[in-house]
Order: sequence, then structure tokens, then C-alpha cells
Amino acid sequence: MDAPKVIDFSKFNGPVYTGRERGVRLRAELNLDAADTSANVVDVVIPDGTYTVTSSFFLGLFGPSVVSAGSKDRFYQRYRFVAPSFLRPEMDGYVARALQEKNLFA
Amino acid sequence: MNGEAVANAVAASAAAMDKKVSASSPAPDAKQSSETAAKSSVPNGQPAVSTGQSVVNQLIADCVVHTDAARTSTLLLCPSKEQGYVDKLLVSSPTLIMSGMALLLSIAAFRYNSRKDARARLQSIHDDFWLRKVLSPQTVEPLLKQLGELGSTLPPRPAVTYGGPEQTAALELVTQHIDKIKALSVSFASMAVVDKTLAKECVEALERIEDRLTVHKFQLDQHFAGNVPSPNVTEAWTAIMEEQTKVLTAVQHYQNNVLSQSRTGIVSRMLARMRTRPGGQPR
Repeated sequence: MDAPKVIDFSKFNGPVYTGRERGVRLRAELNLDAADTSANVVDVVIPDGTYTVTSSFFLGLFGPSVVSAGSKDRFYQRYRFVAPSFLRPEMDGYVARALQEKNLFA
Repeated sequence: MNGEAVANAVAASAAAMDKKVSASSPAPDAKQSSETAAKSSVPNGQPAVSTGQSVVNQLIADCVVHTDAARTSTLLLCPSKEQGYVDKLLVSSPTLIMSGMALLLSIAAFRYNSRKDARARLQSIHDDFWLRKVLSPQTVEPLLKQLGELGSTLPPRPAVTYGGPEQTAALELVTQHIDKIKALSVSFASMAVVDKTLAKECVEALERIEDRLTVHKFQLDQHFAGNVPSPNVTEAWTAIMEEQTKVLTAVQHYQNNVLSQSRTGIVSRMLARMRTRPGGQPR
């Protein structure tokens, strides 16, 4: 098994992460579509100094991965987040929204 | 019955007819021919010498002659000539064509009305019920109200001096606006029940409002910390209004589409059929 892929937000322009297009562009750069088809785990590191991650950015970056995983638990098993505590409930809401949109927009 | 007498009488008429013909194009023996025809008898229905007489005899060959007892009047009963199939068809074809066209028009009118009614019903369900009665009160109306409040309260306000508590309140106010926009995004997502594209366009517009408010809050926070100048409220408000216009335009566009589809759907389908070959392949 390969070493886990690491996505470090500190390498991107922060501390405010906004914009669906920006998230989609980053997803393509990180080749997350391929990561979703493999069994490898992806570690996501969001630094403490992060001001916020908006739903548009998160869903642009991880939306298809959430849909591909099919459930919140399977998504968090594949993508292991290390993030400030204030962001955890926010991200849970984004994941739930991605699953809702999967059903609505399918 | 006196067939001979009848024939003579008819022959006399024929002779008179011959005479008229002769008068229009005189012939040397016209007078003699007429007289001969008038005087000649027709024994056993045999044709006489004159042309008129022979024609008459042919005509009355199949007729039944009735003469009253006083022999003052004669009645000829002649069967109508049998017509062939083609002759009958030629005579009745205009009627048949008109009847066929009337039938086709009736069928077409019935189908047109049925489809028009179905479209109107669909439009009524999608536009009148879902959008106006169910979705709009939960999406468009609250959004307009929310953005109206946002426009009048978005900090920093020029007349306010921001000390510690005011700064906290200002940041909290922006956070509340962001949370309300997030909640509205969920409501707008339910527009997918009538149109997925409409829902997606609206949700993405609301995401951009959320992003703009988040950036504004961050700039305001930085400003209160003394790091940067005050964020431009007018600039943020203009960007938010642009997104609001996109939402309203998307809804209006959807409604116009529903109406135009209900009006032109039948015609479009008919045109599409005309453009399609019998095998189903487009030209």
C-alpha cells in the first residue's frame, strides 16, 4: 500500500478559503478523481491559523469525493482531516449538503 | 299500349329536332329527310331512315311505354344507364376527398387540444403551484427580505464608532447574515424538484454571496485588529446585489421557459417530426 497522500492547506493561499471555482481547480491539480478510485487514504491538514473554509471551496474541492464515498463516515475514512475544532461542525454540514445535492441534482 | 304510335310521335319530335339542325346548317335533302322521318312508321321498334329517328329508337329501346285508355298521353319509363365503378368514383371523389380532409382536421384538432391542455396542466403544476405557492415563499421572498436587512445593517456603518463591544457585535452581525444565507442555500437547493439547473444556479449565486460576506467579515476583523483599512461596504454590497439579480433572473428565465414551452411545445414537436425521416433519423 502506498503512503497516504497529503493535502496541506498551508500551501494554498489562505487563511480565507473561498470560491467553488478555486476548489474545483485545486481538485484537478491534486488529481483527487484518481485518489477517489484508489484505496489509499488522503490526509488533509488545515492549519490553525485558518480563518474559515467556505462551503463553496470545500464542495468544489471535496464534493465529488463525498458523492463518490456515498456517506459521511466512508468519506471521513478515506479523507482524514486534521483541522481546527471550530471547522469540524462546519465541514460536517458541507458533507451533509454534498450528499443532499447528490440526491437532489442526480 | 301502342308502341308504334309512340314511336311515331317521338319520331316526329326527332324530325323536328333534325329540322332545327338543318336550319342551322342547311343540306340539300333536309326538307325531304324531315318529311320522311315525320311520315315514316317504326314497325316493331326498328330504326327509321333518319338519324334522329335512329337515336330515338335507341333511347326508347329499353323503355316501357304506358299510354292511357283515351290515348291522350303517353308515359315513357326508362331505366337509368348502369355506371361503372370508375364513373361512380369520379362523380363522388370530391365528396370523398372533402370528407377525408374534414376527418383528418378533426383528429388533428383533437390531438392539438389534448396536448395543449396537458401543457397547461404541467405549467400550472410547476409554475403556479410549486414555484409560487411552495418554493418562492421559502426562497425568493426570504432572500429579498434578508438582503434588504443586510443592505441597511452591513458594518462598518459610517456613523458608528467601533469600540470593543461594537466590534464584537458587528462581527456577530455579519456571522448571522452568513448563517442565514447558508440556510437559504438549503431551501434554494429544493428548487431541484422543479428544475435542477435553476436550483444549481441559485445555490451557486448564494455561495458567492456567502463568500463575499466571509471575505468582508475577515477584512472587518483585520480592520478592527488594526492591520488593514476599513472594508468597502459599497463594494461588498454591489457584489451581493449582482448575485441577487442572478438569482431573480434565473427564476424569471425558468418561468418564461415554462410559459414558452407550454405555448410552442406542440408546434416545436410537429416541426421536429417533419424534420425527422420515417426511419427516425434526423435529416
